[in-house]
Amino acid sequence: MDSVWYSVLVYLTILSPIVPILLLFFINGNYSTKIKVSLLVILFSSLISDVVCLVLSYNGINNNFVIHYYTLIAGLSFLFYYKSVINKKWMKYFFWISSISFVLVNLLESYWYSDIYTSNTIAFSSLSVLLIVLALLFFFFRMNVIQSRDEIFDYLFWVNSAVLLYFGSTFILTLFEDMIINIPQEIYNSIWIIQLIASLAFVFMISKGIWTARKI
Amino acid sequence: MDSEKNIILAIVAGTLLMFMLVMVIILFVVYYSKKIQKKESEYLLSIKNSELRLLREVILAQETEREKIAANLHDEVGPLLSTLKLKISKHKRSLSKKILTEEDLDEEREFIDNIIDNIRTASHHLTPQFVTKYGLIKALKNFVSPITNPYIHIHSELENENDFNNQQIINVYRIALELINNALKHDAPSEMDVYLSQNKGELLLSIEHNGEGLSQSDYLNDKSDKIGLGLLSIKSRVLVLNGKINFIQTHTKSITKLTIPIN
Repeated sequence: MDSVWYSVLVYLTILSPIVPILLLFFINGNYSTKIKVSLLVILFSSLISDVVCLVLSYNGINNNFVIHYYTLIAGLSFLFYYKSVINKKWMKYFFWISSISFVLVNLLESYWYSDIYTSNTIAFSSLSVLLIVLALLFFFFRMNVIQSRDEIFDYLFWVNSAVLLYFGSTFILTLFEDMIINIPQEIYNSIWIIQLIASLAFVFMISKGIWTARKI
Repeated sequence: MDSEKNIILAIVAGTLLMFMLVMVIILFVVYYSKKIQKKESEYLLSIKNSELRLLREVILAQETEREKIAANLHDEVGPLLSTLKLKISKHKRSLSKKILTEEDLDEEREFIDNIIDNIRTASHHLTPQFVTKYGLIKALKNFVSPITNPYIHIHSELENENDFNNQQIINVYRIALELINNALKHDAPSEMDVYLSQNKGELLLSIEHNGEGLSQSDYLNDKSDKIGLGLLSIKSRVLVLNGKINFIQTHTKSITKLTIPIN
């Protein structure tokens, strides 16, 4: 891919969370404050971390530590989001256990197993696995209680599909990121396009979900 | 270099495979949800349709009942009263001629008895006062008179009819009447037994006869040509009583079991 187009795609991906953030701010939706707050934290942390990463990389500074913090904040927000949408008694315990384990894995990888200036493959992959399982569980619980056509494609469907699509598609890529980090930049960019497209799809589906939940 | 290339290819292939897998899962969820939703809609529609049908049948039943009462009054009570009026006019003349006999008066008394019977029958059709006044067993026994229906036997093991309220008694009576009439009309049995009993807070009504009877699926799916106003009325009454009705067909007999919770 032409480097100009690649840059356009990168900027588009980085700035794309602005759309769902604006929608969340300006459109009154049929969702609880908990859901709204968790989505805002996820989108804001994604936007800020990506912008900071870009600025740091232009200045030749290692930006991996930003991803470490982003993974921690976004991961906890995603877990909180699923705690709010899966109305099961065990979810409360699952939330606390998975949150504590996730924070521990993050800290161990950032300060013991590895360091904060290298990519956090283990933490991000474990978050991906956790979220894929939660997204599948959510679909499983929801499938049998659908009563109307509107319920099939409501905002929960779009947000859950976004999570499943993004973390499912990028799971292999993030798991083996260390193996492709040293390949020539051009090839790396070509592979990384998958990640960028998945991010764009994630933001688009979240926006679609927020738009679907608007109060008419 | 080759191994590096292979690793890259494997990662790309794995990523694309995961993407396809996720897409298949999402599409399956949509497909399955649509299927479930379609089933739910069909179920709701069938309930709505059966409710509408029931409503139509109730209106029709009301009209039929009114026509029956009107016909009864017009064709039976009306002519009897007209005849009585004529006879009284005749007796007035006879009285003036002093030729009125005791037999004449007896004849009029029979006429009046006939009229009273007709009115009682009409009133009985409107509200089964007999049931509330004398109880379920006596009312059923009165209905299946040993003279007209000698092959129908009523067996009761009910301890105390006071356990049931009037609505329950009337509805069970109506259901029993419909089931008996239905069997007599469609199956022409030569033996029929009606059992009434009480068990663990439930009232049990069982009607057994040696006719063909109705199957449970016919009753549930409204498929049989035997499904008419009567059975629809049974359905609505069973629903009101929060009860259960089962139709069992064996080689030798047909059994209908109704169970209703007492409280």
